Amino acid sequence: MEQTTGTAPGTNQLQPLNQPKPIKVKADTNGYPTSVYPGRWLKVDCVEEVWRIDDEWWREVPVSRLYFRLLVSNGRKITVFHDLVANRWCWQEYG
Amino acid sequence: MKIACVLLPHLRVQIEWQKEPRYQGKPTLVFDARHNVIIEAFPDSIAAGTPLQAAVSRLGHPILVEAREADYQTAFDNLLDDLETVSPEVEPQAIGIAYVNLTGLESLYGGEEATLKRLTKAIPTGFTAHIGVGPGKFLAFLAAKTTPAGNWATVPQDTATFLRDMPADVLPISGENIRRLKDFGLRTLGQVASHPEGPLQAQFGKEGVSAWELAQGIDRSQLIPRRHQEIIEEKLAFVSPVVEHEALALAIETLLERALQRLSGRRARKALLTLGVYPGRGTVSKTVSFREPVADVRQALFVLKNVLERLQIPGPVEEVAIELSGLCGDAGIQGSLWSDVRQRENLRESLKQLEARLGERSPIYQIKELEPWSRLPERRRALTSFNP
Repeated sequence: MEQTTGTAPGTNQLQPLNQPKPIKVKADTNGYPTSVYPGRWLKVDCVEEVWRIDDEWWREVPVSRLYFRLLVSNGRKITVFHDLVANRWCWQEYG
Repeated sequence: MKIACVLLPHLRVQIEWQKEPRYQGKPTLVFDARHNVIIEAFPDSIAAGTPLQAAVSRLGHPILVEAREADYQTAFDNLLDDLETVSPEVEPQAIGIAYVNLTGLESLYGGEEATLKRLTKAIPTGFTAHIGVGPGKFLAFLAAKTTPAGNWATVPQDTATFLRDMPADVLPISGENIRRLKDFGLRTLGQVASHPEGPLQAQFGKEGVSAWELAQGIDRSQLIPRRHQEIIEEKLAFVSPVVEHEALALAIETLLERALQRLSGRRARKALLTLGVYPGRGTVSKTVSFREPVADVRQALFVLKNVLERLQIPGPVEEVAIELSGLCGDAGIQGSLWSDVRQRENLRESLKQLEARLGERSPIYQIKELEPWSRLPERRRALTSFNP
């Protein structure tokens, strides 16, 4: 199995952009977000898209994320994902 | 917004046909003599960039014409001037493709048809043009592409049906991404539009979003009218054609003296040097951007003499012309952010001083691409310390 380098991202003069940031999310029984908390609770008006990324399966900790592009109650669109490995929610700029 | 796309297919070939009407309609190749590749061809089956030898062998006995980009650009500029007699907002995209803003013109000319008739009339006789009208540049371009020569077409209300069977090749994205779209089985705009935006964005990044939006008929691009600028032009014709560089340099000096006198206290950022080659071999031209705007003959002459020495002139010169543009006052001279630290050493020293003052590493960073193809956004780009 391929080992991780053990180096935390951001050290050694490299700071990856668009890092995921933890976010509180309330989800329904299907796992779809109903409210998100980017500073205050916002209701999800619409789940515009859902896609899944499975990557780096050869590493100790693979990547398995279920992304949701959401239209929230203040009219903004945000992208969050459910980290299926660590079972946590993150918010991320996707572009 | 209502935009018309005026499309003049293989305009370079059309210009050559106007010069030599006996070539009209015959297979013609306009090629770059330095690299021996095709710039433009008639018929369309030969793509730009094809090696000359391969193109000739495919067409049998085509007419071969050495490309004269300066002449084509001048002819296209004249055409844009003509289009501007109809609408003040005209954007050239490439030689042979122009966009015209028609918004509000209908009330001026008495309806859409009358406006389009005016536009058609503005195109000089002898040129074959297709005109497409749509709410955005992309849709107008497609409408122009699908209408017969000499006609105009308007994008129908049902844009989804209009776009559905168009090949993915019409998308203004890189050739590599077009090829990848096809690898995924997305050969038409309808197939691209039928997918959700997210996966396309994940696979193709910004171009994926752009392709998806255009396939939906959403065009966010703006029409950017060409800017008009004051140009100071001076010309000189020799009594008999000359070949000596000294004579040409003297002519350039004379022209510069005349042109710079007309600047009346201003400076010029750019100069276009054009040499008319005898006998009727077209023109050779070169645009020069001065590092700093010039008002002094010696300064400008030094640069243009260097350009002259590097120019390949295919015959004796019978006419020399100079155009000065990008005129500005003294205040227009650009100051450098690092005016006293142009040298790498000095910049490094300044950063050291900054670090000493802040007591930490310099907060100046640059963005570097790590894995731009990655599906994980945090893997694509990173900030790294700026080390000059």
